[in-house]
Parts: sequence; structure tokens; C-alpha cells
Amino acid sequence: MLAVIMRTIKDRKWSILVYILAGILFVWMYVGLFPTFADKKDEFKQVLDAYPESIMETFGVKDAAAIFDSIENFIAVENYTFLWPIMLIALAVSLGGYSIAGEIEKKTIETLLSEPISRLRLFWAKYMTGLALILFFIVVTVMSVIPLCELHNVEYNTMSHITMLGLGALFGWAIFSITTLFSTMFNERSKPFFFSAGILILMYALNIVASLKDSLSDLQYFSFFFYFDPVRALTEQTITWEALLVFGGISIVTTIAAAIIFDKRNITVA
Amino acid sequence: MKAIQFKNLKRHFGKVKAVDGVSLEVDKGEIFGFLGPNGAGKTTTIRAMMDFIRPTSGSISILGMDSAKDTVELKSKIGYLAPEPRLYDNLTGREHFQLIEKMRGMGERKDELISKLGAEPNIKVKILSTGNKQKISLVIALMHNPDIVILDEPTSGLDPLLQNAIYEILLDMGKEGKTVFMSSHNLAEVEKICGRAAIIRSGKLVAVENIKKLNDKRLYKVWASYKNKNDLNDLKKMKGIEVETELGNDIYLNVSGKIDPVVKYFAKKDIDDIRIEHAGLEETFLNFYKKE
Repeated sequence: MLAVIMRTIKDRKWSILVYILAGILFVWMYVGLFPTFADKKDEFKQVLDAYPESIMETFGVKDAAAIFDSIENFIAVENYTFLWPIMLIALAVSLGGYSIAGEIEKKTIETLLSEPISRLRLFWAKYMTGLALILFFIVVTVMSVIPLCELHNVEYNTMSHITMLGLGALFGWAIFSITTLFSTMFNERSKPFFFSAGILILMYALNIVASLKDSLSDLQYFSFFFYFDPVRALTEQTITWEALLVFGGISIVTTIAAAIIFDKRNITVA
Repeated sequence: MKAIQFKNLKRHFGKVKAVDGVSLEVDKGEIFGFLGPNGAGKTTTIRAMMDFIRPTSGSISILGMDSAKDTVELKSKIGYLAPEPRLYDNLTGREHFQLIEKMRGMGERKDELISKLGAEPNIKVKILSTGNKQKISLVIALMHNPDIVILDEPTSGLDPLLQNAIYEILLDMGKEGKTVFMSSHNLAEVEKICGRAAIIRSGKLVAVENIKKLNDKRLYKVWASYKNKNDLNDLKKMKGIEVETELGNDIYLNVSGKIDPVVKYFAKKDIDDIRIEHAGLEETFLNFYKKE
């Protein structure tokens, strides 16, 4: 099992490192820019106040006046409401899709299945490797804010970033698990990509629609982006029970389903 | 205990009956050919043996163990070769060997096989030719000195020199008491190395034959140049005779079964020339198929 884990990590090491570096550079940019924004916060607040409240809420901004009060508020809105989740989603979908369907598509699954390891062990090796790489990305990109704040003499709250780490881990785990489930069902890696991306786009749309129209507000409960609340995590240091239950529950259920499907299914490479 | 035993093996994909009630036994130490044209059900059968797919019904027993329930233990005793290389493009052959060795221990025959096959273990797989990739795959399949070797079209698309190297390795394994189960649509290679062969067609087992007996079902190719066309009318009515073509005064025949009546027939006729030769095993096989 360790051999499969190490092999997968070696295969992915450069792409993951480049990806993490890009994530750190974005954080660095925001931390570097923050003192300038903080100095001119009154002017920016005037600009933001001109936007409709519902639009601001769509992008996770509940209090425009507070954005420039701390690095946590600033980075929650600038990095964690759009760019960072997209990076995380892309990574989770890529790793999940490749884990099983990618091996089937490349036919290398037969090489692994010819060896004396059970399908479940192979599944867990693939799953844990993908999850470990995602967590590595999350830990490094989220926690990089601390040394970068030290570098730029910006005040920070460690607990906020640890909470964000937890929320990001739950969000990434859920997306990776869903994609892995699709990965065990198909023979081409493009299909898990499309199914997972399709579901997430639908969820994103539901969240926007729910925030724009009161009569449709209940739709927000069907969206991951409702439970993924970086502003709350970073400013209040809390992850809601709903987020914990939804992300954790979906991750556990889809992972078990994926393991069962992979163990039972017929694997025919073309 | 048989090395391999199928009991009424069925594998259906919806309405398609890829394998439909195959029962078969292979003894320990046998080199067994599994013959059939493309789409006959050979690969599906082998995939079921390897537990890549599960039978719709029936069972496969290898070394007395169930191919699905005991798959992990069995795979430590099986060397498997896919019909085409299933390798990681960005790894070298040696990195593949290391990956496999981490899963099932040191490959005791690795160096011997690399040498015999002339494999290139230090080059990334993506830049190797098909033949060289197949050499790496063969080393992977055989380096642990497995008790059972399962090969799906092992020489397909390879040059004759490499084919012969593979035949030699398989024959040596047979001499060492290993059981070899190989699928092929190349009758000539089965004739060269196998003791027995099963013939599968449309998912059903048509025959299980000793290769020598299969040879006894010889098909003869007869060419005769005659003077009077009308003289040969009786010939066409004889049992086992099929007229392939008639060109001018020449007639080309396929004769299945005994040749003696045909020789006696022509001996009484006024002919210019005659040539009788054995058809290849392939033609014999095709002729056999046509009748079933």
C-alpha cells in the first residue's frame, strides 16, 4: 500500500508544489497589499457602500465597513470567497478524478490489480494519498499567512487561521470524496471531472439565487457555498455545526459508497 | 488437484453472452492454449480469472482456490500479462520493477529475464517501442517465478525474434512444472508450445484438443491440372471435398479427413500434374470452425 501511496505522490509532486506555490503567492499578494488598503480604508468603504447589499452578500461580504479592519476580514473576502476555493476545487476534482478513473483510462489499473493487494487496500491507498495532498495544499496555503504577516508587520489572529484550516479541510474533503465516488463509477477521468464540476456549479448558482431572492432563500441549504463561510471562520473563529455535519456526513457517506463500488464493480479496460 | 478449473463459467454483459457456459480443466505443468478469433470470449475469460470482472454465474478455481474469494492469495502465485502493455509512461522499467517488488517482494528472476529478453530497464516507458514495452511487461509478469502464468495474446504485434524468445521462456517454465495458460488467435504459436488447446467461439467452448490430435484433423490442399473437365464431376460429390476455385484446367481443393480416396481417384484419371500438401493449422482451425 505504501508503494502505491509513494508512487502517486511522486507522480504528482511537481504539479502540487507549483500549485501550492501559486496559492502562497496569492496570499503573499493580499498580505502585502493589506497595509495599503488599511491606510485608505475610508475611501474603499465609500466605494463598497455604493454596491447593493445583496450583491455584496453574494460574495460573502456582510459588513463592507469591516473588510479593511483586519487581515482576517480582508483575506476572507479577497482570497477565500472566490480564488482559493476555486484552486481547492480544481485540485480536489483533479486528484479525485484521477485516483481510480484515471488509472482505468490509462489501463494501469490492471497492473495494480494483478498484484496481491485487495481492491479495498488499493482504494484506501489512492484515497488517502489524494486526501493527504489536498490537506497539504490547505495547510500550507492557509497557514502561510502567518509568516507572511510577520514579514510585513501585519497583526493577525492565529486561531482564525486554524479555524479556516478546519473549514477548508472539511470543504476539500467533501469535494474530493464526491469526485472519488464518481471516479469509481466511470472508466474515463473526464466524467468525474464533469459530474463534480457540474454539481458544484449548480450549488454555486443555487447560493447566488438564494441570496438574491427571498422566496428562494431555502435553496441555500442545498449549496456547499452556504456552509463554506470563510468570513465567519476567520472573524468569529467558528465553524457551524451544519457545516460540520454536511461536509463530514457527505464525505463519509460518499467515501464508503466509493469503496463498496470499487470493490464490487467489474473493471474492463478498453 | 487441477491447476485451473472452470465450472460452467458465464459472463454476460446485458444481452451479449461474452462467455457462455465454459467448463474446462488444466493440469499442473501444462502449457495450455486458449484459442479463438477476436471477440470469442478469450479476454473476458482471462479477466474473470484475474478477478477484474466477476462471473455472471459459474466458478473459476485456480490451484484449488476461488479466483474471486481468494484473489489476493492467488495473485501472489500468478504472473499475468495483458494483451498490450499496461505501464506508467513516466516510469522506467526498473522503476516498475521496484514498484511491484514493494508489493510482492524481490523478483528472483528479474535479471535473468532482462538478459534473456534484452529488455531496456533504464529508459522511460513512454519512449520505448511496443516490443520493448512488452519485454518490460513480461519481466514484471514472470520475475517472481509464479506457479501459474496467465498470458493474454502474449506475442501479438511482436517481431518473430521476440516471439521466439518468449516461446523459449514459456517452454522452460513448462519444464519447471509451471502451468501456463495463454490465449491466442495465432494457431502456429499454440502448435509450437502448447500441449493442449481449447477452442472458444462466440463465448462457447467448441473443443478441447491435444495439439497432436488437432494436427490429425488435417486439412489437405490439393491442386490438380486435368485434361477433361467432365472427368471430375464424381470428385465433387465425394465426402470431405470442397472445391476452392477452378481456373481453366486447374482445380484447387480442400480435403478434410483422409486423403487416400482422393489419391486413388486421381490415380484413375488422366491428369497432367498434381500437388498435395498439408494446410496450416490455421486453415484447419477455420475449416473446423466453419463446420461447427
